[in-house]
Amino acid sequence: LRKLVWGFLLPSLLATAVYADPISIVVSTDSKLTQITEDDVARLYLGRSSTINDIEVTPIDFKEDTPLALEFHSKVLKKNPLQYQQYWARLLFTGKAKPPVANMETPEAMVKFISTNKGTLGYTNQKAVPPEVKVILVIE
Amino acid sequence: MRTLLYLAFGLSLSAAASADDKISIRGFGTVGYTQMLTSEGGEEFDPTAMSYKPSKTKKYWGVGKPGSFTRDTRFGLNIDAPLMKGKMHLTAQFYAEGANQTNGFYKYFAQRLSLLSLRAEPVNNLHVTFGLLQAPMWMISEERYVGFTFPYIRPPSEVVGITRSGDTIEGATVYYNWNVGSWTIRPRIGYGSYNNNGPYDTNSDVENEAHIFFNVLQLEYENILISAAYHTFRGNSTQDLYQVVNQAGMDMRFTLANHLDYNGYDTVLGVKAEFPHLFLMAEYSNNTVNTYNFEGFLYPMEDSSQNVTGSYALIGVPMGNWMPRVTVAAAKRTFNLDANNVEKMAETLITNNPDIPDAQKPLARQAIRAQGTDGFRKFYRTESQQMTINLGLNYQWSSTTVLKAELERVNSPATGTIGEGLFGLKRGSTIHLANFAIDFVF
Repeated sequence: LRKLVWGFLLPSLLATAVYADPISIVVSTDSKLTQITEDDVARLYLGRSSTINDIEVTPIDFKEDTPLALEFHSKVLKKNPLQYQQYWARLLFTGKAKPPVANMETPEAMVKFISTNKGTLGYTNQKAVPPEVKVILVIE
Repeated sequence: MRTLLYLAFGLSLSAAASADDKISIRGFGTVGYTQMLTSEGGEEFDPTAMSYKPSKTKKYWGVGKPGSFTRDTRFGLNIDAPLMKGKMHLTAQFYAEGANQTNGFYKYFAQRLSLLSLRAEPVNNLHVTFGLLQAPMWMISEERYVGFTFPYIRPPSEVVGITRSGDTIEGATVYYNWNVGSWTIRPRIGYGSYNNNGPYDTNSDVENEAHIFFNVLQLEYENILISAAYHTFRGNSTQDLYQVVNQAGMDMRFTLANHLDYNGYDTVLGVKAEFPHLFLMAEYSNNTVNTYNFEGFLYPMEDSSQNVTGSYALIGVPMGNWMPRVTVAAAKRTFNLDANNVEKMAETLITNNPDIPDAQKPLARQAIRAQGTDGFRKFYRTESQQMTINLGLNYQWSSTTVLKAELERVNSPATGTIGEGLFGLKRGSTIHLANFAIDFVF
């Protein structure tokens, strides 16, 4: 058991802690939004709110099977891939809400889209976020 | 209203197609197969002896035959057209499933519109939808037709059957998302009408029209959903029963009509909670229907009422891509009769019941009268129960596809069962089913 803990489990946990990049929540530089909470972000991406501080915000997501989307859904939305699909299937097919547009493939594409579409909100794990967008929250 | 919505939807599709807003096409489906493993005939009432005797007839209620794809297979296609830069949405959803006949068999597929609605958010977090909507008769199971959202192949039929009077309504609904910390509190009200006319089989036509007012409160926190609801409804039902009687060597066709008005209410409480290694799901429902203004030939049910209580609890243990689970469900229906009408009803029943030979009718009539109300209650099932134990296993093939397998035991400990598909199981009957299914969304 000791070998298992020291040889496998602990290094795995450390690796996760060390290599999990923070997720930056970004909006366009001319957005009125200056700050946001993690709860607010979750509400936006789960269709439970469409405004933050009375400012309309449209969340944009990565394609569902990209590593960053999986990490974001797990860390921020508290949903594994199946739970995420089931959550939106329930809302979509009962006519209540529609999931966020999820067509981004890379952080670069996300930043480019957010920078040119005022009123949208996205996320990236880039260590140096380009100046075309404004970081309003960093989730470690 | 539906015609107007069709028109609006067509116009909007063409408008949206020419604009930047993108039309989304999504769908869901379950390909499910049910195999009857064993079926015991149970007992049936012998009106001449005023007692039960073993039934020689084994029935495959709910499946119609030993194996069936139609019972658990379903498909849905959802088309959503955003308007005004996504501020409004027009949604149409086509749905196909095995057709449910009054005898509980699913012999063919039927398709219908399950959504045709316009949705908007005029004020922050306040959502208004009108058109053809899905009625939230069951809170968690509101999406019961989307098999993918369920841990089992089909919703527990024994607790949705009798209250499934209108699964779609034409009307409007409003809900508000009130966010408090990590919780979302969602009150919802709605009003609408439904009309689920038959014919359900070749021998009868059923017209059922009603209005429903529903009130729902949901609390959501991460992967926990708690729902409570209270609905009231009022409507009327007319059944035309066709009979062919041979008189003087000629087949004479008669149409006999039953009509009744009814009102009632549903009370529902449900919870669905997902944790890393535990999945819980439970629901309780009570449905009461009062009938009055009865006009008919067969069952003079003036001032009678019917109460259905159903509940289920599911416990699953997620282990990686696998989730074994066990579901226990029970339902009970009680038919409350006005004692003043019992003798009249018994007389009518005996006179019109083709199952009682003419020669035996005087004896049956005498026996029932001798026993008064209690005798009638024995003759006509006034209470029915059903209990189900279901062992299942889910395998997550991908984030959009789940494979499922189940073994199910359904039995009727008292006097017959209730519920969609299994309606009519005889007292003491037990059936065992196996189900296999693939659930998917796209």
